[in-house]
Amino acid sequence: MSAGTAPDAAEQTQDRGRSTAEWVSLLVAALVLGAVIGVVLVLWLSVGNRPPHFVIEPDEVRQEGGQYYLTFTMRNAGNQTGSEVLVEGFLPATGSDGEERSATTFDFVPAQATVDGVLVFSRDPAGVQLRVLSYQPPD
Amino acid sequence: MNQRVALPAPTSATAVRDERGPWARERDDLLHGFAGAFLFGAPLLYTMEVWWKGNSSSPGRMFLLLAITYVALLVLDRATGFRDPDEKRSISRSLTDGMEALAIGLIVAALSLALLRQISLDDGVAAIIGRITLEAIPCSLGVGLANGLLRNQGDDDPANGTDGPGAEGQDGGSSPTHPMRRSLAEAGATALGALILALAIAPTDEVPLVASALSEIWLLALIAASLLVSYIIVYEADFVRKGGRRNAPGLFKEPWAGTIFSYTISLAAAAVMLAFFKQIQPGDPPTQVVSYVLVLGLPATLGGAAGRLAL
Repeated sequence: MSAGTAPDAAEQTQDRGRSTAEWVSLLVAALVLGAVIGVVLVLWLSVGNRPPHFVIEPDEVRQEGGQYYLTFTMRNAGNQTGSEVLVEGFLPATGSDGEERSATTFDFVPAQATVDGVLVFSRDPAGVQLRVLSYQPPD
Repeated sequence: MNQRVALPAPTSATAVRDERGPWARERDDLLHGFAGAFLFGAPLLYTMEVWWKGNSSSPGRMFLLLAITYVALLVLDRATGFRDPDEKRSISRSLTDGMEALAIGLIVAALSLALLRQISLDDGVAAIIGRITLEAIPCSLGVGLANGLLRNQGDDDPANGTDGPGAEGQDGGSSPTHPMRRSLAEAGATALGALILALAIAPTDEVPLVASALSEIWLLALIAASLLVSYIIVYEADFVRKGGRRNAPGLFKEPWAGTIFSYTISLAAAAVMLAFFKQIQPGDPPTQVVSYVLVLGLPATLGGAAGRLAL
């Protein structure tokens, strides 16, 4: 009995007053930290130097006031952020209609992120060609 | 946050402070932490450069930032001693308190970024975690500062240790006690605090940027969050005078009435500042005006709540 008192007392000065409530919040805090650090580590291990790579899918077309609004979705399939991403839609000339271009810029497209954009044309953008003209690598 | 712990040899003041049960004590300590995180995190939360830097942070840099913040929290903890300067805090206690401060900072950063629509599931894991870790720095330091500095001035003073209705008599000595004058003083302090924070954010592009990303349902969520955080700061996590606020006479006596009144004043302060910087002008569509005011209303409310704590 008396032999066990000394280590007990030493432990009590360390953790005196740490109630169940405090253990619970400590546990939750540890879980949150563990999750964040885990995700960062996984990112660290998985990130190669795969540069930004953009996949563009045309979505729906909306007609308003004689203009055609083409919605599209762009995903950055690379592992790095692209900034100042310039997307162009190109309508080749057909018959009487001349060729037509429309463009928009995205400030940032982070790795694996999906963004939406709209391009405006004066005629039905069927057969439109969407491509990225340029971007800047992360600093 | 484990500020209110029974000492091995309790003094009389400590004994009185520990009347609350362990769960209530822990809840109060956590609310302190959350309040501090919101207070100190707000200015950087409305800084788009921080969001952008978060987009392109490499995992290594995120890791480094978390580590530096943790070390800073430990230093802050050891330096301020949290409660009583003469109390010996074990190293392990400091280490775990730092962990909790960091976790609270991360949670507050994630919640507020989600509330302002600056993170969403479409953004990709790297950008989401990057933004959260960057914003968590000021939030976590806010937790440490709130616990270490603000609280030491007030209820940990043995003279105010009774924490009960009786303490109000002493506290009220320096501030107006007449209900009407007391209400005016509270309103004035709220307006002043709200104006200071709103002044810093109103002229920036973040206001229209955030407002443009918020639909009606998010604006409602923003109102709810503003009220809740303001309530927590002033009535639940009263840094300076435990119990004093609820017993103060005047318009701010009832917590919910006081919170709504304070929010109204803060929204007015936000509107004044937005008009001053011509972010809103006569003839602007009402939806734009309302969303701008509500977006600036969140930091303004935080400032207003902080202003009232100074009373």
